This record gives sequence, C-alpha cells and structure tokens, in this order.
Amino acid sequence: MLIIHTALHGEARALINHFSLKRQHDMNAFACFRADNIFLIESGIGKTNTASAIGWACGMLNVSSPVMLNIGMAGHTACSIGECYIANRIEDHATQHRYYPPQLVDTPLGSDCLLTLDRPTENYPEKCMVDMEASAFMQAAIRFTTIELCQSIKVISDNTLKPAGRMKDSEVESLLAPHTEAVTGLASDLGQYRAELMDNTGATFSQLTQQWHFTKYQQQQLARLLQRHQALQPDEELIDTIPAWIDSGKAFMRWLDGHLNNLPVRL
Amino acid sequence: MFSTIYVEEAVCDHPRTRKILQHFRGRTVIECRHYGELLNLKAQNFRLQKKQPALILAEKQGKKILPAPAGYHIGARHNYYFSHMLNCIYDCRYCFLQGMYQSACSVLFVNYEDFIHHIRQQALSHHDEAVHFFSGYDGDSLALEPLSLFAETFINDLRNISNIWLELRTKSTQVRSLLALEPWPQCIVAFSFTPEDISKALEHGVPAIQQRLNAIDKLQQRGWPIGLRLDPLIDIEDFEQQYRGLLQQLFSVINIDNIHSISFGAFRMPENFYNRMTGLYPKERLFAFNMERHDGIVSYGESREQDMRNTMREMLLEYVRPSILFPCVA
Ligand code: SF4
Repeated sequence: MLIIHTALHGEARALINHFSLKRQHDMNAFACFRADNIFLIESGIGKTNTASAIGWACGMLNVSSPVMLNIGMAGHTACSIGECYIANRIEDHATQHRYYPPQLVDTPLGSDCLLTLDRPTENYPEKCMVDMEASAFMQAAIRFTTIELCQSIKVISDNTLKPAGRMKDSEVESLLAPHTEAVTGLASDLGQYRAELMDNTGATFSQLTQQWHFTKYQQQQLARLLQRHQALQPDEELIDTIPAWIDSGKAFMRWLDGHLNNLPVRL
Repeated sequence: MFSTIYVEEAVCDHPRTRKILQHFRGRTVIECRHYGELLNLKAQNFRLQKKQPALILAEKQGKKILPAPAGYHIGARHNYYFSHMLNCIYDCRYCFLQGMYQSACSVLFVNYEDFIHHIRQQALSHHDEAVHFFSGYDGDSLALEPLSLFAETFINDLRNISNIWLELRTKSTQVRSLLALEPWPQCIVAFSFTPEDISKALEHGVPAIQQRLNAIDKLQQRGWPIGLRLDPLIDIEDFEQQYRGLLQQLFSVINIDNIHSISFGAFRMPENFYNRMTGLYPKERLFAFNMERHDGIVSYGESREQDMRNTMREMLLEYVRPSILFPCVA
C-alpha cells in the first residue's frame, strides 16, 4: 500500500492523472483519491492539516507498514524553479526536532535538507529547502510505518529571484508533472522493501483461528509457530499435515511445537 | 560501501573527519547534531537499513572504556573493552548488534586521542600488572581500517606502555596497515571463525574462510600474535564433524606457536535482543529451532552448551596446549 500526501490540489492533480486515481466521494474529512493500492490524501497547507490528514488516513486504512510519501512544493535560496529533491534531513523550525529519512533507493532525484516552517517566508535559509508540512508528515507517518518507507519529495516552486506567491493549480501541476516517473520508481522500490517485511503466514493463521479458538496470547504464539514452520519446512503445506486427532487450538500448538523441535538442525 | 555519510556538527572540522571524507567524494554528506538522533529512533528497521548502510562520523563522549563482561578474558586479571565503532559493515545473522541497535548505521568515533588517553590512564592505574583491552565488541576492528586507520593509530600510540595488551577482533582481511607496522607482541589479532557451511548461511558479506586464513598467514609470517575466536559455536546436526573440519582447515595454515589464545563459547543472547532479531528475520532458520529461555537469556541450554564446549575443547587439544584455551561462558 502506498499512501501519498499532498497539501495542495495542484500537487494532487499531477499524481491523480499519473496514477489514474478516482475521487472517493464517501470520504468527506479530506479530499481522497484511490486506485488499487495507492491512496492519495490532500490535506491543505500547514503542519496541523498534515498531521490530522495522516492520522485520519492511516487510522482509516489500517494497513501494516505502508509506504508513505509527502509530495509538494518547496522554496530554496538558490535552486532553480522546477528542480526536484528528496529530503535527506527534515527539521521542524519551531521545535528544532530533526528526522533523517534513510536514503535506501537509487533514484535520479538529488537530495537536500528541508526546513519546515510555521509561516511562509521570503528569507530563505542557506543551503536547504523550506516547506510547511514535511516535519508534521514525518512525525505522524512514523507512528504507522518505519522511517525507511517514509520520504518527502519536493519540487522547487520559489527562490530568491521568484519569491513565493499564490500559484494556480495548473502551475503547480505542471511543476510536479515532469517528476512523476521518478516518484513512481521510488514508490515501487520502497514497495519491494515493504514486501520483504510482510508476513505471508496470514492465510494459514486465518484458517486455523476460524477452525479453533485461540486466546489473544495463544494467537501470538501461533503466529510465531507458523513463522518457524515456514522457516524450517517452506515446502510443506501445513494444513494438510495436521493429524486427525487434534481437536483444539492448544493441542494443535503443542503438536506443531513438538514437530518443529524434532527436526534436525540444518541451516 | 556507504551511500550516505552523516557527520556530527562538532566533528565537521576534525582532521580525521576531513581525511575520511576524502574517501567519499561525491557522496551525500549530511550534518547531524548527535549520532543518537539517528541511532535511537524507534520507528526504523535494521534489516532494511542493511541494504544501504550509512556511516556516521561522531565524537565519543562520556566513558571511553568499560570493564569486560565477567567470564570474558584471555588470561589477564584486568580486562576492559572499548568501542571506537558501533555497528558493523558485515551482516552476521547471529550478531547481537541487530538486537541492540535500532539502526544499522555504522558510527565511527573520530576522537581516537581521547580513547588512547583513557586506555593509558587505566593501564597506569594497574601499575605493572597486565591489562587487556578488547576492541571489536560493537563492530569489526579492522573492516574499515583503510579509511579509519584505527589500528595503526592506536598501536603506534600504545605500544610503548609495557602493561597494555590490545586485542583487535575481526573477520576482515584488511591487514595491510598491520603488515606495514613493526609487529607488537602485545597486540593480538583475533580472527573469528565458524565452519564453512555455517559461515555461508549466516555470515553475510564476511570474507571467505580461506581469504581470512591468507590474511592470518601474512600476519604470522610478520610475527603478529594470532588469536582464534570460535565464538559463537552454532549447534547443528553434524556439529562435531563441521567443527572438526574447520579446525583442520585452520591448523593447516596457522602455526600453533603463533597462537596467543583460543576462545570459544556457544551462541546465547539476551532475550530482548533475541526477540528483536527474530522479529527482523522471522523466516531465519537459526531462530526457528528450539532454544531455552532462562533468566532473560536465550541459549541452547546449560547441558547442551557444556557438551558443545567439551567437544570443542577435546578437539582443540588435539592441536594445542590447554593453557591457551579459554572457554567463554559469559
Ligand atoms: S563481524 Fe562481528 S560485529 Fe560484524 S556483524 Fe559479524 S558478528 Fe557482528
């Protein structure tokens, strides 16, 4: 699952077109768009809007370790309008708290530091981008996923020669549109990392918990037993090997534990 | 080796930082306030970070040396360890670092002179008694030597203190700087080994046994004392056969007269570390076999450990004298 956050509708528009996302009319708290495993939420400008949107989306979607991207505009003292960067350090100007999203993916995009401000500015700090959302995005996002899967991508929309001003949606969209391919590549690589973290014993777990009763604690034990089984007997279809005499969850766990403990230790 | 380099603001202008950064021209260098900002974040994944590890150049503050864990020694009464590095470029699946740190970033402390000062002070406080200082507890001692020059610097600065013994623990083959130095009889270059099959299955990125043996051969010919660390012993179906094969391989190259010490101890782990490692690698076979949990430690169990140590000791005694054997029970 990929969750994309934008502040402005112009930013969203470039991605809605690129990913063929459909407006979710039953969701009123924020403007949301979706296609298969991609969910886009448009929060409005600023940290509070961003944190609320991320919390709301992640709570509602309830997926484990999603890939999360904050995509938007940023200012910079010297970079040219239209250049696109991944933030390698995000600092909240008000709290001075910093996040360092690990740069694990090879991407054609450059990387730069990013400072998140509470208000727009024309006094650009030296050597970093400025925006109004990224620190709140990171703070909220890492409650729901691991920081490697959270990234902030910024297109330079203003600089000392062309200070920030009101931009039309179409202008924002055209700044972001040339970079949507790079965004897709990044999202896809992060998606592969995410897949490595996923547990694929879920179907067997569901089957067993429907068949027998397991307490919450037993469910944790069962999940670990299934992982052990998968590690040691990856080719064995567990459900087919359960002896007929097993009549409860507890008996099943005792049997599987014994079965695994008796296997010869081969790495 | 490292795609991203972080540098603490306090050591940006440190001469060692500048020298190390010369190895990484063109890489992204990001300033941070303190390495803990990166290392201590909860919501991060050691396993994912191992794919593209980052390096942090930092300053070690506070205590530089600590007493070695009880039961860990190679013949001296006074034993300390120090960590000029946190984390490792290798990726051994049994390594406790995976359980100890949230992040896989390697931290290199560049203020070597502070470590050296504390080591000297500690040695002096024990007057003429031998004091052993172990390096390589929180990362491989030599793996980064070409860029860190750690061993070269420490050896040159410590070799004139008569009661200091230094152990450099490693699985690497980066011995060029040692070969260029005059051998120091009180510096033990201690290589860790597991049998070939185990190494291939669990020691990701580690040089092959034969490559390490080639490095040992060069060192012993120069006159450096060699240590062997058969630690951790991993329990497998054909344990005795596997380890017998390893010993044959090792002693076909290593001259026993050059061996300072051999230590060996079974795989065991604090339970909280073990749980975290299992969470990172739920499909890892090493963690899928039955282990005992007792007093917060996960192990093969007292009696199996004892068997493994006894078997190892007997096999080793076919090659070496008992006085250089140090079973590790810590
Ligand atoms: S070489 Fe040592 S420190 Fe490095 S990963 Fe392996 S066990 Fe850990």
